[in-house]
Formats: sequence, C-alpha cells, structure tokens
Amino acid sequence: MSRLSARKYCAVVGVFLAMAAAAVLLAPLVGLEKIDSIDALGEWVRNPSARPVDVDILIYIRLPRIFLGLLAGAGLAAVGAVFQALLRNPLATPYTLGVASGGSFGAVVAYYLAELVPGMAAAWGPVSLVQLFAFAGSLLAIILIYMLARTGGRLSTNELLLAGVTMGLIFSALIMAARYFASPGLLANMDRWMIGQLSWATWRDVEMLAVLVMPALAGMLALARPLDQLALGEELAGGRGVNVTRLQVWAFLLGSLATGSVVAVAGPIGFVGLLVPHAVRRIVGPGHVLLLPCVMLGGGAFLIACDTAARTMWHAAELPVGILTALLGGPFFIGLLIRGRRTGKG
Amino acid sequence: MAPDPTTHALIPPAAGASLELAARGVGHQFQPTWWCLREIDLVCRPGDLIGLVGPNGSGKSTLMRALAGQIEPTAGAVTLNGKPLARLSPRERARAVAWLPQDVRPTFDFTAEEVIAQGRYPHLGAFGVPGPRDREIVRLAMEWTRTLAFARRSLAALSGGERQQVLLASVLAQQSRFLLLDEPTSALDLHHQIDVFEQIAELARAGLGVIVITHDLNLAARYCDRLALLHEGRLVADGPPSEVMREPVLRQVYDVNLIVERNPVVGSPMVVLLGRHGGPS
Repeated sequence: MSRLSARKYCAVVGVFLAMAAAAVLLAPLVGLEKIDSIDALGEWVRNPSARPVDVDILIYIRLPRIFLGLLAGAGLAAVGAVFQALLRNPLATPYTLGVASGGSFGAVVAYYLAELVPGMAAAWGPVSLVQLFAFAGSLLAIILIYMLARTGGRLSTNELLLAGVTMGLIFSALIMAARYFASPGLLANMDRWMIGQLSWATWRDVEMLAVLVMPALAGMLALARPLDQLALGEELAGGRGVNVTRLQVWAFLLGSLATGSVVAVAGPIGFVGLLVPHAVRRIVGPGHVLLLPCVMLGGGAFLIACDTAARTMWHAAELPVGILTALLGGPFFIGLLIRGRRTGKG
Repeated sequence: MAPDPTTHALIPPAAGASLELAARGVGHQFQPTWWCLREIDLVCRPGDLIGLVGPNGSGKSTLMRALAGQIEPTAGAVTLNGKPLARLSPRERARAVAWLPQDVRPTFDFTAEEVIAQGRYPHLGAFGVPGPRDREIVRLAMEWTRTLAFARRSLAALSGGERQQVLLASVLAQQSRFLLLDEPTSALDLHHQIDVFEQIAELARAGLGVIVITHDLNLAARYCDRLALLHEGRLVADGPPSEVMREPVLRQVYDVNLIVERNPVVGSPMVVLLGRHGGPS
C-alpha cells in the first residue's frame, strides 16, 4: 500500500467507474423490444406533452432494472470480498456460506406474515417487511456459521464450507416447506425472486435497495484498512491494534444488511460474490482500500452485463440472471477448489 | 558491537525513564477448573532480552498473549508503566507493545512490502493514509532486516527464513518499546536461527525490551540476559541463564535426563541431553 500514490489510486478506480458507467449507459439500448432510445428521447424533448412508448420502456422498464443490477451486483460482490477477508478464505461468499439462503428464508417468512396478518404488509418509508426479515435471516445464517466453524480461534476451509452448505440445505428445506403450504398466489410471489432475477424491477425497488445497500457499502469501505490486517491472521491484527471482535461484528452486520436487502428485492443471485472479487483482486491486488471500491463498481457492471445477456440471448424469453451467474460461477468455484487442493492452500 | 545507526532510527524515542511492561500476580483460566497461569510476576524493561522457556503446555504463549494485551488475565494484571494494559485503547497498546504470534499464515497475495507497511497501522490517522514518516520507517525496517531485495514478492512465495525476516520487519515498523516474539526461530535452520537471535540481541542493546519464546535452551542461554522458566503455569525460575539453567530444575521441569555444561567458547550454560528420565546418565 505504501507505493500506491493518490494518482494511481484515482486512475484505477476511474477505470472501474468508467466500466460501470458504460454498463449503465449501454445496457438500456439493447433489449428484446426494439426501441430507438436516442430518437425517442429526442422526440420527447421536442414535444414533451406526448411521450413516446419507447421512452416509457426506457424509463420504467429498462432503467430501473439496470440500476437494480448495479446496486445488487455492487452489494453482492462487496459482501463476497469482505467475507473472504474476514474468514481468511477465498471461497467465502454470501451464496456459498448460506447467507443468501438465510435471507431467502427470512423473505419467505415475511411473505407469509404479510398474507396472514393484513397490516403487516406495510412498509416503513422505503423499507419493507420483506427486507427486514431477509436481513434478519442473513444475519442469523452468518452468526450460526461463524459459531459452528470457529474452532480454537481458527476457521478451517472444510468446516466453513460444510457449515455453509449445511446451512443452505436447512434453509432450503424450510423454504420448501413454506412453498408446500403456500397458496397459489403466494407461491407465485415467492417464485418471482427465488431464482434470482432483476425483471419486474420498478423504481420503488431501486429506492428500497439503495437506502439499505448504499450505507452498507459505505460502511464496508470504512473497514478497508482493518480488513487488510486480517490477511496474516486475527492474532497479528490484534497485536497491531485492530479491535478484531468489533471488526467482525461490523463486517457481519454490514454484510448481512447488504445480502439481505439484495435478496429481498432480487432473490439469491449466486456467485457474483465469488467471481468478481477474484477477478478484481487479480487486477488491482489484495489491498482493500483499492480492492473494495473496484469490486463494487465491477460487481455492478458485471451483473448489468450478465442481466443484459440473460434478457437478450434468447429470442423466446428472458432468462433469469441468477441462472446465468450460477452457470458461470459453478465451474469457477470448482476450479478454485481444485487449485486450492493442488497448492495446499485455502 | 555497537548498534548501527539504522537500528537507532528504528527504536522509538525514549519517553520517561521508568518504562516497564510487567505481569503482576497474573493468573489465567480458560476453563473454570484449571489455571493455566498462576501468580506470575515478570518485569521487562527497555534493554532487557528475556528468554521465556518451558515445556509444551507450560503457559508460555498464554503469558505472552496476556503481556500483549490480547487476553485479559483472570487474576492480577499486566501493566505498562504501572497502568493496566486493559485500560489502553488497542492502538495505544499496539504503539507500546508489538507481538509476533507463532503461527502466521498468509492469505491473499500481499507483497513483503505491503505486509511490512501494515505494521504502521497503530500510527496511522483517521483515514489510514501513510505519510512520508511512515514510508521512511518502513524503508528502514526493510533495510535493517535486509528484505528490500524481495519487497515486491508475495509473502506466501518466500522461504521460511525470508518470511520470518519480513514479519520481524513488520513488527519493527510498529515502533513499539516492547517486542514480544513467540517462537520466531522454530521453523528456521541453524543459520537463520542465529541471525534472528543476533538481531533481537542488537535490538535489546539499542533499547527495546524483548521477550522471546523458544524451545532452544542453548540459544536462549547464549543470547538472553535473563531466562524465565515456566512449568505448569508457574514461573519456577527467573534470572540470568547461569542461575536458571541448573540440572535439578531442568531435569524436573522437562522430565528428561540431562547435564549442564559450559559453552567452550563463550561460556554460556549449555544443555546436553542424555535420554529419558531414569535412562543412562
């Protein structure tokens, strides 16, 4: 970090910012419905009283979806990077640790409550019941995993992944049970996000996600230096003056908040938290002061790109983005496992 | 041998004459039925080089954790200049006491230089941006440990000896008055073991208070001016090597048959192992 000048820092973050900006600007131009955005916008500016339907598609269908992708991708990727630093394990992500499953379960419970108790469906400002429960579910999952996998102050890869997988299975079973007893209407509601997708996004979804994810991202950026210290172990970090327990508590809280709020709106989109931190770490190095902002911007750009591909590659229908990220991320995850075994690391 | 100027540049400026890191009646329990440390009184002052020795499980690492302020002892207290360590903020404590734990395993590919620069953590301000002074200390620490040659290499890719030098540089960059090292030579060959002990002896001469855990009694006796011998959580001896390394004490503590000779060249006490307790003597 000592060699990182301010200029180089701005240049690197700038490149990632440009990437995210390019994704936001270019992605709305493509879609199954052929619209000529530039012409339509020009027409609308010349004659504001008659808004062309193409502009409606752009503003109410494509743009919210793109901003949702930006926020969700940034959130999931950043949580991946933070969990990897915290658990000193490159395979830790909100998805592989079952944190996303915990969030899904929380969301399912909230959907139930909303149906059973009519008044419960209310939202407080932009924050909805589903989000709060998803946050609680994510937090519950990460606390359980941490307690399970923590033996003698050190976390082993095997225990961590097994705990995460088990947690995911238990939460999945609970979700299945919920689905089994759900009414058809409720079932449709649940299935909407269970696969992990960004369609049906509205500006309200974007707003709901932004109020929770933006503070979580800011908080994670503030943890960058202490997270660096964990790379050589909690003991050395503690000796250098890091309050390790407080760092863990904050990281888990912020990580659960980001995961839960993304899951509540977009469903459990897998592997963004694995693919993006790994790729970005290769480019900018492991220092979190630079890594975290780049991971956030890169994660947003990546999810927008995946979603754009998912909604345009098939002519018959739009593919949920969760399917695409899982198909990309699964083999990557297995590759990392094999490499970790070969080098004896991880 | 007089300490060279780089050594002096690394040593924090002395503030006040009565500096001391002390364990006062320290006892510790991990489980309610068993004391792993009992009534330990140990004082370390600037310039001291104390070898903390004893069998496996005698409580050496636990005592060092307490001295580093990483665990709060169940009984007694660890004090810095008379003030309990627990009352200091983590950063204040880290600026006074540096600790190199035994088992440091790198994750992610931080370079040697990045790892050493991370030692400046307790000195950095709110935004954690290192200034010219921090960079200078890091450079000095690298120069002193001769780690400049592999500054840009990943810590994980270095040999055991090189890695230990990088870790030593990182705790030196912390610029604390007291240095606690938990088995810094356990994974090193003879050459690197001697290197590390020569280095910490020089640091002590330059004014650091150093406590080092080791299983090599002969090396400890050769370089340390005091040995503290732990046995079943108690400090059974604390004094110059010639006083601590007595045959009856060592035989009992380590449960082996041994004799204590003199190092033929420097005259320090030297253990010669003969076999199991009750074996040939």
